Amino acid sequence: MEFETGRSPAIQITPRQRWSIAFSYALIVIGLTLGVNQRDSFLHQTSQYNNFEAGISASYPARWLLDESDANIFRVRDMSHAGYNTEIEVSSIPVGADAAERNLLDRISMQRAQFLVDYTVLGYDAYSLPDESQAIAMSYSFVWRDASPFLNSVSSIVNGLDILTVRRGQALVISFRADAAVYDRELQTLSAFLDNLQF
Amino acid sequence: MHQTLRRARHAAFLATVLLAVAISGLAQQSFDASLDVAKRATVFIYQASTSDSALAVTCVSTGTLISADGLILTNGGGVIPSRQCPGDTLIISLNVDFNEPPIPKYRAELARADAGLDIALLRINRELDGRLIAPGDLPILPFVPVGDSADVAIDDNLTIIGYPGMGNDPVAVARGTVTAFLAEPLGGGRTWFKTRAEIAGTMAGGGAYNSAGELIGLPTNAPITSFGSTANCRFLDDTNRDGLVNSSDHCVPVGDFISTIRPIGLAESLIRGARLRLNVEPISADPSPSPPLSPPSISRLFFAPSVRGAVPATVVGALPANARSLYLFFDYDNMTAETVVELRVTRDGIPDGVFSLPPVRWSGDEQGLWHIGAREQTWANGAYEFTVLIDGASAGSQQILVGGGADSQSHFSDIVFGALDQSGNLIGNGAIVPLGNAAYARFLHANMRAGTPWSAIWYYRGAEFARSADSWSEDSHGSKVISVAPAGGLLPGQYRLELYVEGALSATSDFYVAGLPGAPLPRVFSDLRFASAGTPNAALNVPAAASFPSDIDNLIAIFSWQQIEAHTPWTLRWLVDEQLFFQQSYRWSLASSGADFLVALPNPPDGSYEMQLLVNGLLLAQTEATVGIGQLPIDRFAQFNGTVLSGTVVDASTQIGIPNIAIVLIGEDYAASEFEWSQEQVVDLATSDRNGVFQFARPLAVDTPYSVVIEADGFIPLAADRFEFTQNQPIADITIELVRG
Amino acid sequence: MQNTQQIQNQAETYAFRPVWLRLTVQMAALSLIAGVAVLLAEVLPFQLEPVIGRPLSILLVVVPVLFWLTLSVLPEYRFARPRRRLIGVAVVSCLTASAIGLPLVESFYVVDRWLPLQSVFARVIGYTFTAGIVDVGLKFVVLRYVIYPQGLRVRSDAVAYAFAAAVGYSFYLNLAQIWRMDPTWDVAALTVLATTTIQLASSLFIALGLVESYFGDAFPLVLPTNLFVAAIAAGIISALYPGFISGVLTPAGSAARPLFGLAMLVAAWCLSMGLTYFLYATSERREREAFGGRGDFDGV
Repeated sequence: MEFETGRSPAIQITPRQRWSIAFSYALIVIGLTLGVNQRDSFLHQTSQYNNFEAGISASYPARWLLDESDANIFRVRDMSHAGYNTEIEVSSIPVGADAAERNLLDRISMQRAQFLVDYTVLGYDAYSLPDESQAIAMSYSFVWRDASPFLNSVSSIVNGLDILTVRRGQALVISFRADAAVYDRELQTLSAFLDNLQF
Repeated sequence: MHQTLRRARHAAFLATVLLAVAISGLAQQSFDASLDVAKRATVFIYQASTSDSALAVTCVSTGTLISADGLILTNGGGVIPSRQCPGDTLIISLNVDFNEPPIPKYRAELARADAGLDIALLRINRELDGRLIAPGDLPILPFVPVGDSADVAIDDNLTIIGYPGMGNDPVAVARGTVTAFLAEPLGGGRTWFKTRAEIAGTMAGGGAYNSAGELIGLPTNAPITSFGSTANCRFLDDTNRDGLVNSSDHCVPVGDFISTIRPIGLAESLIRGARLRLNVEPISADPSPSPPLSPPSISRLFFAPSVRGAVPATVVGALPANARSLYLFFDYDNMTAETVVELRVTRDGIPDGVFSLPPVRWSGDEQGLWHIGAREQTWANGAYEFTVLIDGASAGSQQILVGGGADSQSHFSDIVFGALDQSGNLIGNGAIVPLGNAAYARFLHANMRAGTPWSAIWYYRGAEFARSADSWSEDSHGSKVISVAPAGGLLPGQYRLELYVEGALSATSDFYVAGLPGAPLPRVFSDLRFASAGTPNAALNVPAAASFPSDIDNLIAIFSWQQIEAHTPWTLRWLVDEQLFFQQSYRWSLASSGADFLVALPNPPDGSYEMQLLVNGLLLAQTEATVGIGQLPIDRFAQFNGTVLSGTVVDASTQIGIPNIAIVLIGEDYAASEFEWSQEQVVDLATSDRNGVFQFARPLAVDTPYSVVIEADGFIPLAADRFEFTQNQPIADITIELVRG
Repeated sequence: MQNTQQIQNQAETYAFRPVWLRLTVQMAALSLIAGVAVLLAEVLPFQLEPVIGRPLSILLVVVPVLFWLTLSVLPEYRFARPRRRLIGVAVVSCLTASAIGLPLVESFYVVDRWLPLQSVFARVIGYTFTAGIVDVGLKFVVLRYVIYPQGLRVRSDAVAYAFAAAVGYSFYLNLAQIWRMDPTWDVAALTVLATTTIQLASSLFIALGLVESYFGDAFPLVLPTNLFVAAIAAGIISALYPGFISGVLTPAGSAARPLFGLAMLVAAWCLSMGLTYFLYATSERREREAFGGRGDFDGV
């Protein structure tokens, strides 16, 4: 075609246009970064929990259901997660003069084995708490199913981690449980929780 | 003017008709909803035996959940370990889908049972895999309200719910009416309801409901599997592990079609005891008397037109027309709770289904006097033949003619026993005579002509020990007192008097000699008291009290006894807040006199307790004590009132159910916007299953403005305030469409 | 800069196609299909069998592409100087969405885990800085490297290419969404319209930015500002659309409101097209006035 009278493809862009493009890239990078920031601030939004009687304060993920009704000190659950609701539970148990930490964990295991399906202790490990104190961690797994007998619920495999530390004659047990499929990812939540836990 | 009036009348009539239609529509709607709850609460029960870690089904039956914490009412025959049903494990299948067979979900334990009544209460205590269910972890299960069987009348509508198959059929509903009441000593005139509803044998133990949807009875039968008969048996498992399922294996007994309903009233104390988890332990009583060695038998069959307590008023060989009551009496021996008894009645040779009693379990004790009959019901004229069958075989029969003129025959009636006071008057209770030199009997006589030969025969422990014969010399109508004074005085034990007129039995009655003379009742039991201690024996060393603090380990009743002969039947009753929760009859098995008989009630909740001791149906002693505040705690879930909220959460884009979505029900004090994700604000939580179906475990209170919050990753959250239901919505089944965000 | 005579010559030689009109026709047709699907689904008492429903849903994904090929691409070749890179832009946009766009939004930003639960305002902001900025950024990069500046001969070229990018980008998003979710066919029709609307709205603002930057040699912040507005437009529609569809929860349950969603989408594309066209026309008029020209300056 011989009617090429528009701008030539070879035409160079002006410095203004070049700046426009540079600014555009900058905007995109800034926008993406803000997105990351927003994602993190929403995903890691926390609520504050204080129990002056037990001397515990903690930050737990916002919109998790806080339950102080049981014998435990408190428990928080992620109710918006489909499947086993990831939960963190903090409880205290009295410690006998001759009881070792392993004894306490074994006692917990024996109790759980009565009620949980296929409860299996996967192992014990030393665990360093954020304040550099040492604790013992017990990892375990079990099979969970919704309790209602009238529903066709499918069982899930749940992984759990109990972190036990003895302070002032009381053992504090921080239990973390999550669906095995998301357990590794959710460990970050536990880590953030422990970072802010004061007792 | 007339036209206006007529119009007004028409309008009023139309309004009345419309109102009636509306009311009946509402009533029907309400009944349908109750029926749905009842169907949901109907469970199928497998009794299974464990061998080599495998379960083999030994018996099946239907049951009904009667409390939110998993208490199941059923027939005892299919769940109490016995020769027919030797299993040790009870599997509970729930009605998950009305159109499908039930699904095994839990295991249960025997909470309370009365083999004779053929009633058992089971409590769900384990998951299907055998794990214990932690206290409070069992979801609140649907259950039916228990009605009052005393309000049932002939021709009342009955709805019977149960499982018609061996676990492979969905729940079934049969409808019928009450056609008759049958009487036995155990429950008086309403020991059985008869119905013509078609009820399959495996529906035994299910529920019979009145028009208000209340449980008023249990369809009951007893399969007969003796004599090697396999007609009432189903072979399901290779129980002998020979690789074949054949007649060598244990079969699951299944009864014939059911026509008898056991009224719920007879299970009242069992239900109450099980609900309150109260287990009375008569520590000093013989817990399991040895079974009789001889086969069961009956003898001395005769008829009576009425009963006084458990004894015949008189004995008749015929009844006038329009007779309204008739009882067959007989002596029984060597009976057990596993004995199956049947009464076949024919009138003029034609089977009479109304007054026949199909095979049922024996509800009396080992030996004594029994009766089966009916009162306040029309007995058509004709020649009746009553045949009693034991374990499927005829054990005795008797005939009586109903019809003809008014009764003018000489006869005796209404025998009562006692002792004479100083004025020579007969005193006592009519059934128990204290130890002494002589026993006296007063009876009524009618139409006696002078010179008519009559006689009296006295029996002790079944053996005749005194007899008198004479010609009548007194008035034709009136009462007469006779006595017996055996040499050496009266010995404790069972006595019987038979009165004959012209050689025919005219009246008979039994009495017991027990205890020391007392006024007005013999002193059989004494020194009743309550104590509390860690162990029953320790209670003997602590002072008696009438009030105890809450949370005691044991409430122990202690008493002494005098002059009770071995095998004398006696009854132990316990009441809490004036309501019976335990009643059990025993044969006395200790020395004739003694002290420190112990009865323990472990872990009694707060309440007012009373223990009663009876002999031959007569209350002889009682004592009371209070624990804690002296009143039972209120059970929040005693009534299943409110709206059962269930539904399906679906993905709006696929219309497929979304699993594992939590629906949060928030209390009326908070709006959804005020929800701070605190459990304190939460009334209940429901989670959807793999099909998106959810159900709140507890019913929602009506006219209560709840709030609801639903949040799930990836979906736009939903929230609502004023989420309330009215009284007319016992069941709400809703669909919630969630939109992906 | 060109004078009026040159422009008139261009009108003959480049045979300016009425871009806006065709764009409007395509969106109207797409809305009509979604509307009919939604109404039929409301009226018909049954759902289509999966064996029919799924192919139909997939077919609906192809519909915008077919419309675009029929109404925008094929007519190009009836003229002497077609916009040759239309298909290229669409294909590259589609591949970009597949390789970067969707994985970034789903796996990196994991928007499903946190955005739907936020308030409307937070969702708008959230979608703007995640899905919005990703989509806009990627489409801008595609346009920058495929047609900028060689493919821009007249202003409407930017609109045509930006729409091509929207069609290509939304094609993959639709395909992925419908393939995975397997929605009912009426929801599929609505989803296709929603995605196309979101991409169209953001693309139009990108086009506006390119036009201003390239043809108007505008201030350097004009283009990024337009890109930002494009991301906001995408964020607003993405955030509001599910809210419109989502029903109200009552004791009787909750049912989705597809008609509300349809109305919202129609309003969204009408509004975004109207607004961008207004800005586009204003800018064009300004330039025309600067050169004292008359009549149509570009293909409308």
